[in-house]
Amino acid sequence: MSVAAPLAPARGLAGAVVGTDHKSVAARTFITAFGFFFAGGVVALIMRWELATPGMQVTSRAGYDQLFTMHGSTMIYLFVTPVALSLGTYFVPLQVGAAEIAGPRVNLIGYWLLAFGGVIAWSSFLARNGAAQAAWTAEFPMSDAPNTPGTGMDLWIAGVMLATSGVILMAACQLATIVARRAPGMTMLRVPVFTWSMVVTCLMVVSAFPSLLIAMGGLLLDRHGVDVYPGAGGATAYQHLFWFYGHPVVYVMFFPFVGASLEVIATFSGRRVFGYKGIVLSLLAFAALSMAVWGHHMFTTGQVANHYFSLTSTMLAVPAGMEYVAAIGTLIGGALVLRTPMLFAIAFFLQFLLGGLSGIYVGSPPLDYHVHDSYFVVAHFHYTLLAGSVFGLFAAVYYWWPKVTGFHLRDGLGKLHLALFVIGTNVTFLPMFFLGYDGMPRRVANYTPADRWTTLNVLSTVGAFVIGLSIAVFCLNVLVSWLRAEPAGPDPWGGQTLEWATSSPPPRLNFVAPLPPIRSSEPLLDLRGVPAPEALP
Amino acid sequence: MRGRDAALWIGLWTVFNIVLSTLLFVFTTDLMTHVVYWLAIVWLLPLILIALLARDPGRRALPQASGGSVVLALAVAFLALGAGLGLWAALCGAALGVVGVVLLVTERSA
Repeated sequence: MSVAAPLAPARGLAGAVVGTDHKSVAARTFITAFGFFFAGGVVALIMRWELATPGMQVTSRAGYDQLFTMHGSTMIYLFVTPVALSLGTYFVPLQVGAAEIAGPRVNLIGYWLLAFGGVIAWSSFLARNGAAQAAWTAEFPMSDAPNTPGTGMDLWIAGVMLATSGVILMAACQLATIVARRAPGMTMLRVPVFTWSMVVTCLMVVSAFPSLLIAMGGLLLDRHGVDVYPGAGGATAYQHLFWFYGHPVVYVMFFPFVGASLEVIATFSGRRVFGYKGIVLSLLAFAALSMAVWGHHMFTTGQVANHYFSLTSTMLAVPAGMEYVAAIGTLIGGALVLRTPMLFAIAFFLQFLLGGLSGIYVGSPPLDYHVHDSYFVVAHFHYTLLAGSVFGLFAAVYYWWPKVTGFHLRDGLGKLHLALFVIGTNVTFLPMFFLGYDGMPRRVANYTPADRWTTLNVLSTVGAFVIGLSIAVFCLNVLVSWLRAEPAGPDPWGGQTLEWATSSPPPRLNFVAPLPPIRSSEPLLDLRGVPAPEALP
Repeated sequence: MRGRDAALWIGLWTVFNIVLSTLLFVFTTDLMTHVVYWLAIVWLLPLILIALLARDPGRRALPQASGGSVVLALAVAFLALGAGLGLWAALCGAALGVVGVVLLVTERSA
């Protein structure tokens, strides 16, 4: 670590605004993203309340359009993507043995662009015609000036562009850290699995996310009189640009949690992660394939090569399967310790399976034609994003909380959180598969009793409130653990990677003592004398 | 040397992408589909070059705080707000941008 000691640290409010320490920026990103998660969650509960029974109970149709637009936008642009990046911002430098993230100022700019972007997008509710109401995809021409007039849509576009720019900058800093700031001995094939997941995540962010900036920039110009998407081909051009971002982002919201969950499973199985090199290769193939599937969102337009996009979408099952093999292979023969992070990690793989398997279904054009724009699709992507990503996120949160704060979260409350989250998730989203298959379209504020969708919708609404309850239990856990802190020590779980070789929380330059020798992706296991796979008979 | 190691892997990922995007030529001649895909791949080439040229980190001073970065981010936010709120916001953004750049230059030379 060839760095000079920094000047006196910025503390308090000043530190929270201008501090460049990657750990502090990551914590701010995490807290900001969770703030938006709560806001997006409240919006979701209002929507579910509206849909529980036929008729308009809580809001108007236009109001409902704004609610689902802001719910989707918030969860994707302002919560899951940033929170995934926040994990990388905190742990990538630690895992590769660096004293600081590369480009700390750029990283700070990235955070503030994200925060300002989020506030601007939400401020669109204050506009005369209300917030954006063209869905999180802002499909053209639904989002153009004649169809969505008013400044609310403009503010939303500006906010999305800022937040996305911020995420790109943060990803670039992480990538640069991995490229150029690794500790001596930390070759790319000794980089921990979580950091590898951030490599592919950041590669996708820097190569696919600029497409969204182009799409949104074009939309903004179009709304102000410049014919960027003229004629019938304009809608298709917009969709290409949007979905070239819109599908990779799904994996940006997935890979970091795969990496985190695999590390959790390895740690709580007391053994090395199974098939390290296979995981690395499958992550690279997975990420490349996920850049080649955007057209499956456009099957029903008749304007894309359905055969190609169906083929690549189905091929995703192969690298995904390899991640599952790695998880199962690590579990088999391990000395399993079923603490909260481990249970969340296992639940992540199980819950995501439903999203992944239904993905094969919608990856087939004839079947996709049948369920397109129905609640089946809503169920599918919520199983990948909420049931998938957020379970992995909580596995990471419970796992790394002691490292970040220096104290444990309560295990009992954590297990209650998990139980409620599992129940809530499945009660909410499983009925949506049946609703969609029965023809309930997405993005509708109302339906009639004759549709016979009431029972399943009531069930789904009850489930949504159970999810809300589970999040309340998590907040209670944080509060209780904060008020009655149980010190964690530097390595409470018997961790395997370098972040566990420093104090909890880590010092300003991450490591005070010399780093242990790095001979594998699990240097702390080497230190304890656990044999490397190649040394096994 | 570390950069070269990483460049190899980014290169492998780029090759995966090139194979998949080349395969697309078998299925469609739609220009937009190809342009979007290939732009992203071309974008990766400078990334590989930067990784190849990355040197091992030398001894350097770390910034503890950066007011200039925050002002610059605020400037960009105001510039973007100009789209919704009008020219005044964009002009505020431009002015803040100048202040931000001056602050950043001052910070780096301090």
